[in-house]
Amino acid sequence: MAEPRPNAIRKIVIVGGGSAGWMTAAALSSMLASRAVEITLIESEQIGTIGVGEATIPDVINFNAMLGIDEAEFLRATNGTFKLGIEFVNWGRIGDSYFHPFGPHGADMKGIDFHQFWLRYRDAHPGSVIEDFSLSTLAAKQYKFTPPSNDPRSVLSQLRYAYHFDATAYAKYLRAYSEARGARRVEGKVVDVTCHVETGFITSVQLENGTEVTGDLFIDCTGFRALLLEKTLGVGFEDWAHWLPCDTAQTIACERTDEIWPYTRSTAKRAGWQWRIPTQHRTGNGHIYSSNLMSDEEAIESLLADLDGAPLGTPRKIKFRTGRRTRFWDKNCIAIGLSGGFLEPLESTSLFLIQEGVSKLISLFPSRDMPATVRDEYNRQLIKKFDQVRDFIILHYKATERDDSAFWNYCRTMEIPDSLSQKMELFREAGRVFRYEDELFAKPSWVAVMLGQNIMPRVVDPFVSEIGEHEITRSLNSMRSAMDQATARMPTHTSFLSRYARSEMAMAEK
Amino acid sequence: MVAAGLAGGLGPAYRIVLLDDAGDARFDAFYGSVSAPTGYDFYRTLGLDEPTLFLESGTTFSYGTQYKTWPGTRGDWLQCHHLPFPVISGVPLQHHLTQQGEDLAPLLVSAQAARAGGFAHPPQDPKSPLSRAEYGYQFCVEEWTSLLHRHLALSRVQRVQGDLVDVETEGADIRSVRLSSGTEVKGDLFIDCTGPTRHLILAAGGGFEKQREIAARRTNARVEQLGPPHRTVDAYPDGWTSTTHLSDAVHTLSVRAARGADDQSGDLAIGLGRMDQAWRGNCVAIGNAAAVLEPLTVAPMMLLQRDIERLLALVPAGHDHSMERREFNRRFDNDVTHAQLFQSAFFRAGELPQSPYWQDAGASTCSEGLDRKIAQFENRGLLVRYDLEPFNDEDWMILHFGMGRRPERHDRQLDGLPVADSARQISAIKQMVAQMVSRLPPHHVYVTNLKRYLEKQAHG
Repeated sequence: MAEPRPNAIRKIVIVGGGSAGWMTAAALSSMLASRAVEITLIESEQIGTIGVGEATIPDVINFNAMLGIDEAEFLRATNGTFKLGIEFVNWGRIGDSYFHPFGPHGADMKGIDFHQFWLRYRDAHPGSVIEDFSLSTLAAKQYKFTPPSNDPRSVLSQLRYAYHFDATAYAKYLRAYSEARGARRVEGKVVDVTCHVETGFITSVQLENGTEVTGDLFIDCTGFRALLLEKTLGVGFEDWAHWLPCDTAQTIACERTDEIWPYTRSTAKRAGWQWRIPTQHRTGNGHIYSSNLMSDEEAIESLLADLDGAPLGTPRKIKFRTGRRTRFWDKNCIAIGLSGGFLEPLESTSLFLIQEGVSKLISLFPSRDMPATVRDEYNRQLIKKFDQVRDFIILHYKATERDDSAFWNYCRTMEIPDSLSQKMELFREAGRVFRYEDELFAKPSWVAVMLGQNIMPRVVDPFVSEIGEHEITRSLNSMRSAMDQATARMPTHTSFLSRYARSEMAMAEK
Repeated sequence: MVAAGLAGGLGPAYRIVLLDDAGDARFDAFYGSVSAPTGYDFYRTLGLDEPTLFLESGTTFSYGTQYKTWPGTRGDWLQCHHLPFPVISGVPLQHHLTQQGEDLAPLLVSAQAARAGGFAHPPQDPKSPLSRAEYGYQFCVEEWTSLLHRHLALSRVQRVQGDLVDVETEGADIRSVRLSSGTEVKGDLFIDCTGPTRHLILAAGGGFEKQREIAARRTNARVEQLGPPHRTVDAYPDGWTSTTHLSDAVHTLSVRAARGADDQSGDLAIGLGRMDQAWRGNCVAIGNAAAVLEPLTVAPMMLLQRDIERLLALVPAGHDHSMERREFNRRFDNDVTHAQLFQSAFFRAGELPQSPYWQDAGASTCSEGLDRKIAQFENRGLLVRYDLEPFNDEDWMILHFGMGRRPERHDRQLDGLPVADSARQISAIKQMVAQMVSRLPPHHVYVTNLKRYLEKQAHG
C-alpha cells in the first residue's frame, strides 16, 4: 500500500529534558498517533535542568486539561499547591505592598471598568485599596482556598487560580505520561550535530556514546546553551538587559511554614528581588539581581536573611540572559523554553511561554519540507507573545518611586518601549486600560500593578464622574460584603489541600 | 449616533451641541443597508432597541449577504453571521471538512435559513442548532436617522441649524465654527460627522488618503410582501448591485467606478480611503469623515460603531488630548486596516473583469496581512488573526469557503482519530441544520407576528 502522505513528518527529536522537553514530548505524544510519528527525547543526567518556573499562571490548567491530566493526581505527584496571585512587596516604595490577583476586581457596571468606580469610591474612602474588592486577594490573605464556581451568578465564579509545584517533579510526571504514549527517552549527551549540505536542515545528532539519532524535526530544549538553534544554525538573540538588568539568581529551598500560603510573594531588594513559592513539602526561594550592582556573596546573604524557614541545602547560582531569539523556528529546528528566550519569573510566565511554544507548534504542525509560510507565522506569533509579556514585566521596574540604590535609580529613569510608555500614560491620564487581543495579561492585571505601584490616574473617566457618590458607595459596599461572606465560608488552603491532594512527601513530614 | 452616545453617558457638566446641517446626508447611503450582530447592544444604548426599530421603521432581520455571480468564484455564497464553529474531538471544524472534502455551507444554520427565507430569533438552548445563528438588520439609513432625531429631541443635546461656513483654527486646534445664520459655536472638542466633505478634520490639518472613487445610485420600490432575511449582492461587469428587503420596500444600490468630472449620470460619487489620523488637535472625525469603505459588506456600519465606541471610551478628561488622541489613532488605524483586509479579500478572486471598477478594486488589494491570511488558510486551514479585528474567524472562514478557497491539508491531529467519526459528526450537523431550517416560519410571517406582539406589548 502506498504511503498516504510521503511528505509527512515521521521522526521528531527533542534535545533536552526538563520542563520544556517533557512538556513538548507530552503534548506531541498526546496529539500525534505514535504509529505515525516517532518521538525521541534525548537528555543527559550529566546536564542539570534549571527548574525555574515553579509558580504558574492559570493557563497551565488548560495545558493539563489538554493532556487529560487529573488535577489531584498531578498535585500529589508534584507537591503542588494552589496559587491565587502574587503579593508584591517594596516595589513602588519601600514599605508598600500590593496584590496582583488572578481574576477581576469587583464587577464592571454600565459597561464601565470597575476600577473607574473604585477611583471615585477612594475619594470618599481614602484608606481603600482596590484589592479589597478582589475575592482572590481576600481569600489569599486569609490563607483560604476553594475551587471557583461555574455558576456566573455566584461570587465564587470570580476566583481564578494556578499552581505552585516542584518543576523537577513535573518533568518526571510528564516523562511517565509521554513514555506511556510511545515517546522514547534516550540517555546521552549530544556532542555533534549534522546538517544537510544543501538545505542546512539538521539531519541528525551524535551522542557521546557514538549513537546517531536522525529526525525530520528537531526541538531545541537545551536551555540557555541553545545547542541547535544558536550553536548550530546561528540564529541571533535580542538582548533585553537594558530594560531588565538582572542577570543572576541564587536559589534555595527552606522548610515550609505551617500554613501553606496560596500565593507567591515577590519582594523587591536593593538590586533585584526575591521570590517565595510555597509547595506542599518545602518553600522555594530565589534572589534575582544584577551582578553589576551586587556581589554573589551579598546576594546570598540577603537571600538567607529573608527565609522564613530553615534552609534546605546550599544556594545554587544561575546565570541568565534576558531576551529572545530573533527567530524561534529556523529550517527544521524549533527552540522551546530557555533556548528560545528568557524572562525572569516575576509574573510566573516561564512555563506559560513553553506552553505557547508547544501549542503553536501543534496548531502549525509542518510537513517535512517546513514551508516558509508556517515558520514565519510561528515566529510572528511567538515574537508577539514574548514582547507583550516583556512589557508587563518591565512595568514593575519602571513604575517605581524608589531612589535608594543605583539599581532603582536606573530602572526608574530608563527608556522603555513605546508600547509600554503609551499604556502607562493612558492610565496616568484617566485610568484607561485597553487590552490588546491575545495579550496574556488582562485589564485587571495591568490595573493591579499600576495602582499597586502608585500610578494614580489624574482624573476618572468622564462617564463615571457623573454618577452619584452615594450610588457608587452602595454598590461597592454590597460587592465587598458578598466577598467577605464568601471568604468566611472557605476552608483554609492547607486543609483543602490536605483533603484534596496531599502528597506523599507532605504526609511523610507530618 | 455620536450625540446620542455622548448624551447617554456624560452628565450636565458637559454641554453637547449638534450642528444639524453641517454635513450632506445623501452620503449616508455609503454606510450601506445592513448591520452586523455586534451592533445589537450598541444601537440599544443609543435608543434604537429592537422594538423601536421594528415598530417605527421598516427594519427587518438579516442573516447576512448573498453574493451572486462574483468573479472568480464557484457560484454564489451566503456570507452569514454565525457563532463560533464546533471543535470536534479537539480539532477545528475546517480540518474535518478538508479531510472529508465537504463544504461549509450546509453546516451554517444562518446561511441555510436565509436561503430558505425563514427566520426565528436564536433560542438560548444550546442544543438547538439555531442557537448558533446570529443576525443583524436590513435597514434604511434615513429612517434610522429620523429615529435618532426623535430620540435626541427628548435629550439635553442642543441642536443648532444653519450651514457651516467657516472654521476658525489655531494650529491643529479648532477654536470655533461659524454658521450661515451668523451663529458662532465654540467648543473644547469638535466631532466631525460631515461625511466626505470633512469640513472640520481637514481644517485641523488632517489629510485624506484616497484609494479609488466609486459612484452609486439608489432606487426604492414598494412591495406587498417582505423578502428573505438577507441582502443580495449581484456582481456585474462594471460593478455590483445590492438588494435590501425592508418591511414594505426593496432598496437597491448600484455601485460602479466613478467617471470623474465628465460623469453626467447624477449618481453620487465618493472617494474610498481614510484619514491619515482621525483625531487631530481637538477634532475627531467619525464615520465617513474618518474612513470610507464601499458598502459591499457590513464594514461601514461596523467602523462607524467602532469609531463611536472608541470615542466614548476616550472622551478627554482635560484640555490636553494628546494621550487620548494617540490611542484613538492607534486603534482607528488597526480597525480600518483590518476592515479593509476583509473587503480586499473579495477581490483576490482569480481573473477580474476588465472594467474600471474591477480593475481599480483588484489593484488596491496589496497587503502583506492579507497575503498571510490567505496563504495560511490555503496551506493548512489556519485562520490568522490580528489585534481585535472587526471581522472574526467565522466571517473569514465563511468568506474563504464561499470564494472557493480550500486548505491543501488538514491538521495532523486528525490522523489519530477514526475518519468515520468525522464523517458521522458532520453528517449529523448537516441533518440537524436541515431539519431546523425546514421548521422555520417565513421571514415575512415572523416579522408580521413580531410586530403584532410588540404593538400589543406597547399598548399594555
